[in-house]
Amino acid sequence: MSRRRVNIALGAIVALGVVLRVLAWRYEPPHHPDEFFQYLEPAWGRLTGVGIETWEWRNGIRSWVLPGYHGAWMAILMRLGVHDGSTIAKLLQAHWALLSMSLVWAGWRGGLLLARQLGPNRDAAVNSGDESGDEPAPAGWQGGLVGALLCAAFPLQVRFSIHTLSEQASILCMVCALVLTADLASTAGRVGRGKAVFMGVLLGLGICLRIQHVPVPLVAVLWLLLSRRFALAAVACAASLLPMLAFGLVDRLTWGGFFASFIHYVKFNLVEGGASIFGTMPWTWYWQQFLHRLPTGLPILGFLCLVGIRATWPFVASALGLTILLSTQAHKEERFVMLFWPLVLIAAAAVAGAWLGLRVTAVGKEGAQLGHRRLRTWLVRCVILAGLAVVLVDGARHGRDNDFPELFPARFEAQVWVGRQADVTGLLYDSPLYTGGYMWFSRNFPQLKIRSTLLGNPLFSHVLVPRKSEWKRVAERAGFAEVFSKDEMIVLRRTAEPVSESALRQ
Amino acid sequence: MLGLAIAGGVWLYGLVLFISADGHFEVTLPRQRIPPAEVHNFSLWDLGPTIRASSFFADWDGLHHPAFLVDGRTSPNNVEKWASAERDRDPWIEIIWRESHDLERVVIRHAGSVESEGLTADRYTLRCLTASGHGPSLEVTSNKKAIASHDLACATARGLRIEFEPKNRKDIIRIFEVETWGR
Repeated sequence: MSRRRVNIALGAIVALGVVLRVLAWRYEPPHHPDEFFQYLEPAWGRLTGVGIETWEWRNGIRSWVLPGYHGAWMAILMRLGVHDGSTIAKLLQAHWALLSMSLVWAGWRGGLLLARQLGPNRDAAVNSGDESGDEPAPAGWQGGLVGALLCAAFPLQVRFSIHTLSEQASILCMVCALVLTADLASTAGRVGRGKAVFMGVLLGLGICLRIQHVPVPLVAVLWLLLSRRFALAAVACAASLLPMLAFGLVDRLTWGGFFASFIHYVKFNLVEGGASIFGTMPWTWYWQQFLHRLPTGLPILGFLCLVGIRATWPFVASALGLTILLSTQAHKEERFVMLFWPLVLIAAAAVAGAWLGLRVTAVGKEGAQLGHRRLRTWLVRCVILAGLAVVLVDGARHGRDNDFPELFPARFEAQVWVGRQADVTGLLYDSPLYTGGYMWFSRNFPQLKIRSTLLGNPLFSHVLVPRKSEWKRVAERAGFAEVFSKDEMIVLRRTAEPVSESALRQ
Repeated sequence: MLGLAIAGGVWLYGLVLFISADGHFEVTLPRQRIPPAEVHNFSLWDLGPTIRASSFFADWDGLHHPAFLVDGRTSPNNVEKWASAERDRDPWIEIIWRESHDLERVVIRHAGSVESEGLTADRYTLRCLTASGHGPSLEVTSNKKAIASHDLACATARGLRIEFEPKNRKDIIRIFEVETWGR
């Protein structure tokens, strides 16, 4: 295979990844309230003066780094005349989807490097090429292409790519850093320290964004040490301090103490187990979730990872370490463990790629046996390709729904519709948690959870509730009438003078 | 690399804009009726005032929006009040009218009018806002009344600003209604 053909295949995979992310951007429903209230709404509130402030932000348990990152883009967009919060939120989601394409690079590079470790010519940088005389493809290209394909198209990962969550940002840092580690650990001869610095910065950033992802940096450093890259390990560790210091400084400037939010966060979530107030799950929950997402494909991925464990161990150990660490926490959510998937996909891709790259000449030379060997090799390739297809199809079949089924996109769309009405002066809704906050409302008027006393307040011009809820009837009695509907959600508008609460009770 | 450098530069500019934002609140209510000629409360919501505030307490369930200051509710519940954010060390509010008025009297319905008396603000300064800046002001140093009426004569006033001094560093200010009476 020539390098040109591999590049064309890689280009096609990148295009596929982009198309799938565009589809996710268009159709993916909200995943978790935190993607709005923890990472967008604080920035929106600072820029517009109006934003829901959750208890985490009142208690200083969150860092301003990620909202600040979003806030800078928001400020630019506002300066360019984009003031609609839902439009800005969608643009930020598109931005994360675009950044998540870095996983395709990670899949390509990681799959290639690990497959090279597993292949017959583990020290060869390139293959012998084809008969056309073109530049030959790099050794391990099969693993690279499979890794890129899985990272580009694995449905759950594609879905998750648009969400403005700290997990997403940290996953990109961690996976790319681990692939850089593979590069540093496996490349013979001198390698640039710049790569080690970049890797360290990514690891430090990943830890600060999501401390629960800490098994990845531990494994990465261990990998370098076992590969006798002591100087590079030291450089990476030193470089990882840079983002940590930056996070600490931001905490000092915003919350008044170095690492103040970080300390609060770790104390509340990991030491005191405070997150258990949001629900507890058995320690096996993450494994149940993996099987729920990939009932047929997970054994295939697991088998591939184990078969090639001598090369894939850093990725497998990182994925298992993450799952074990998270399993010790009483409160569990699927987003916490999303890093598991790219790690396992890249590891499995490398093994699959190594097997796809087996050459007939390498396994048999005798004329009588050659046909038989060739048949067997092609059979193995077909099985591998079928297995990969099963992983993707299985992932698509079981990739729907999430932890918060109440997060109806219709509620968000209805909220945006209300915000765009010229006569709106206030909104009452049934579920503040499952809306897009003030950013999606994009108006500075009050919006509050509906209660009968507030129906009498003249400021509240609109009501947003499910069609089948009791609140619809109560609002109609208070002088509201339906003006908009989207699936199961309806919007009612005040059409009469406010009535008293006692009149509502009658 | 050039693209990354440009994106980074643009983002840094956005960061400067973000950091320099002061985060104050402002909303203008739509006008629903023409103000009468006689003495009236010209801050009422349906006359279309602009409300500005240094901050507000914005919890999901307990969102104490500044617009509640002018909703005209005589029997509000605990939610229908403006409350400053906990981090706000110098809370203030402003009500700006659509046209000039001759201000005569300011009535403030403090927390004590609905909630515990101890929550009533005791130290604050009323400042009349005029086209040329600040007009007459009134400093209140020991208010005990849940519904406090303050005489503040100010001709051709455009608005009213109230600056509060919380009793303690972490106290929040709670006000149910601000009425400005005159013509």
